[in-house]
Amino acid sequence: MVELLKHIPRVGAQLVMIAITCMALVSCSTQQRLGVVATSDAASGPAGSDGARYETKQVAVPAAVKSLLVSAEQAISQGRLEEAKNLLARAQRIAPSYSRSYLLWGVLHRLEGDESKATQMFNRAYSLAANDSEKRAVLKAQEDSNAWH
Amino acid sequence: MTKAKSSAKQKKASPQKSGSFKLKLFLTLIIAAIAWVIYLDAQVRFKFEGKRWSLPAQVFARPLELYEGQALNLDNLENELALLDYRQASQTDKPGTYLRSGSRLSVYRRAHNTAEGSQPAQKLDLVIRGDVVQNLSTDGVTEKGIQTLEPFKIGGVYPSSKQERQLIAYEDVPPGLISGLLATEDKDFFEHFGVSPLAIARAAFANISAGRVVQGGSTLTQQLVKNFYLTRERSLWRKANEALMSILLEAHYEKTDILETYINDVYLGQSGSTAIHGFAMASYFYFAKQLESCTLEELALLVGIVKGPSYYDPRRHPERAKQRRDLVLTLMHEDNWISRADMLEAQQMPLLLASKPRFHSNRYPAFMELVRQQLVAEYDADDLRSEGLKIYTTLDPQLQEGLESAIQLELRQLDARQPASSSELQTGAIVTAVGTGEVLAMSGDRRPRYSGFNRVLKAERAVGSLIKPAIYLTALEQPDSYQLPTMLSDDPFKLEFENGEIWQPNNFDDESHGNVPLYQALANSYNIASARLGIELGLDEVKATLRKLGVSQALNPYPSLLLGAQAMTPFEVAKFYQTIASNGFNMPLRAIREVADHDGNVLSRYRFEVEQVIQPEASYLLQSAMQETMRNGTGKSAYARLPSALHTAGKTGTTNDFRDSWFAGFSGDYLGVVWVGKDDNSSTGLTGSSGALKVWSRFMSGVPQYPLATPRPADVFVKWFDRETGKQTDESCSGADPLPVWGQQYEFEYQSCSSGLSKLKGWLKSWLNF
Repeated sequence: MVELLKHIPRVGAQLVMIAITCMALVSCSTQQRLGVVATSDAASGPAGSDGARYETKQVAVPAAVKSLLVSAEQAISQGRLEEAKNLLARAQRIAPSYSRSYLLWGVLHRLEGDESKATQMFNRAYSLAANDSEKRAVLKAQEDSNAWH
Repeated sequence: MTKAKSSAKQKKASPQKSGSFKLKLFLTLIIAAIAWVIYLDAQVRFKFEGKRWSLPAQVFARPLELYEGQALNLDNLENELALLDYRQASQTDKPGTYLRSGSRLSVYRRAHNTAEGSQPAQKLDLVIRGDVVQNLSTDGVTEKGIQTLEPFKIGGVYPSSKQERQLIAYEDVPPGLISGLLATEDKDFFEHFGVSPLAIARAAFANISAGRVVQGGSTLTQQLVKNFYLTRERSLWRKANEALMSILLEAHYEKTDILETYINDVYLGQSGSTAIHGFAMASYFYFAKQLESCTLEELALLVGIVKGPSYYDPRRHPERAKQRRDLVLTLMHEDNWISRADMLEAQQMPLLLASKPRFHSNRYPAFMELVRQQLVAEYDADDLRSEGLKIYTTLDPQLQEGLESAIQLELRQLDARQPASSSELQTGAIVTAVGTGEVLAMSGDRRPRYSGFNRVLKAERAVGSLIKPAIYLTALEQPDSYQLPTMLSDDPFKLEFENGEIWQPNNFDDESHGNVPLYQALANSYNIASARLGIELGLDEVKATLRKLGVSQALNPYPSLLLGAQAMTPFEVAKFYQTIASNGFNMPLRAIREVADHDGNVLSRYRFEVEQVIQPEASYLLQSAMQETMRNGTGKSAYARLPSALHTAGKTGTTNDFRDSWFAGFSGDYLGVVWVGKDDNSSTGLTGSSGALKVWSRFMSGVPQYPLATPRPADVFVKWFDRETGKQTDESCSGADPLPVWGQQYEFEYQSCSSGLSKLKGWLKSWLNF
């Protein structure tokens, strides 16, 4: 019995480590990415009622859209606003929940002198911002059109 | 003596008079001829230099964009390829072919033009798993950008002449077509002056030798003049005019101009009441491809058809058409335009024709009506019918076909529940993109090809409970007074008006539910609680919210508005639900992306516009309550079909006596509004759940998409509330639901967990996160 008791602290510590590891694996709560729900996913009743659904999820943005936005930024920098509009329209159509498209629209409208449209686009960008970094980027761009890069 | 003298004088005078008369007659004829030639000359120039043809506007669906990470279902993609007349083949070695194998699909895309420029014919390979494009490569190289398929032509705006035509510039005409025409129709085209005496002599010799007419002596110029300016009347007068006008035409214009006009004018087929003119249109009509992409044997077939489009129709008379084609190839070889080897190879090829497109019948009439409506605001009706405009719309053929299929399948099942003697169930349904306001699909009738009463745009029906989100939004914009867990009374009440009339709303189940949390009152669509809330807020306030959401028509001034005694079309409902779905941003519903002229120069672009009209916090709360509708409320039966991971929000609507069945719901990508009812306003026996929701959920279950996941605003916090009492409680308690609350500062009545066991259960639940 004494021998057994001597082992308890070590065994107990090991059990605690195992439990912590299990909890970390099971209740892992890194920010989830928003994925497409396939038509083949079987119906299994209504979605659950846990708090996870209120977590803001990062939008999965196709590489092609990011590439379009890079091109749009270049076009804006070089004053090719009409070309930028076409690129932004395409990016926004493919990934309408991506905040940065609207941020760039806001910058573009401001460069055209349309403050009203710019404000609306910044508002949209802010509403879709998935994290603090994206929100800060919008606020910064709204304050200073030169600070959007 | 005098008599003889005067007789001689008379004899002398008669020849003079006769000569003078003949001279005058001759001069008169010359002057008349000159005048006639001047008149013909003016005719020739007027038409040749003016607007030569009335070109119908062509209307296209959106071009399918392909890229890695795209939500795309293989079956839907294959359906779209079928619409575009792509053939499944064992090898994708020609434009217009594809091959599907497991999760891979290879397609040889046809050359086409888009707003982004010319896209060449190219092989694309896709790997699609879990309805997502995992990999895209072009010509074997991984593609990180975006590729497109050509847009599907969905219809046109036609002139009264009912001609289909696409113009092609001379420099774009394949050389094989020109050489085929010269070899077959007019060998001396570049030498003669409009008429060819040599050709006439050759024809005369051939005809005399054969004892019948086997060859014509008309030049291409004469053929053009006959079709362009004159009639087909067979007379010497017409023939003489034809010859004169041909000479005049050649005197004024270059050979290439004349040939280009001929190539764009010649009659080459018929589709119902629509005549096919010009080789570019014929190429599309017979081969579903651009003229520039036609092979030698295809060009030869088109040339062969010139002599008799009906007689040599390759669909009705394939043997005859093939013989004619092979003759053209032989003539091309004899005139040294092609080698013997090329001739033999082309003659071996079978006739490969596309399925016959139907012109002058718009495939999607409901959507086309919306397009026309949006166009006439900017373009003259005559210009639409005659300037050859190219209209690029927002229609998604995959979603459109999916919507039509869902309607047909569900209405057939719902029909079975209708009494035999009753009138037919009908529908109006519309799908839009949540993020952009683009109209993606629309059906104005259960028979989608029917070009009649468009219920989406014209059927004004009472909306019932679809109006309720406007009431709850009005409340949620006042966080000091209303939050999602705020308790509302669902006890019966009466309103007495000045004229003595009494209004007493009832719940659908004829029961009252006491005090209920606000979000549950909306999710379960309790009439009494909703009406009480609306009256408490004020009818004018609710109307103001409806206006903010985009409702522009006159509103019912009575409290019955709160229960949906307000007629709207499905399109108008879509407008106001679009604002809810896009989290409080008003955006116009657009059916057109851009309009270009017939050369492809962009005339108008219809850009995305947005205006924030609702505070994001209130909008977020409303969406959360509408998600509860789908999880546990009147919309939950949708999940008999939908995957549980597809978070959606929505609202059912049912009117008195079950005359109207409505559903409006959205995911992260699509908003769908469906109405089901009868045109004679008789009862359907259907609620929003048992009718319109079924159509909506069948449609949504067939489309890969992102779930609803609006980012939570910074000033919205999640707290836990008891489902029964609406009191704030601990996350660990059984029966506790998380609810978003606007503002950290608000305090709610608190209750602890009811039992130790439920505390333990809740603690384990939160710790292990299940």
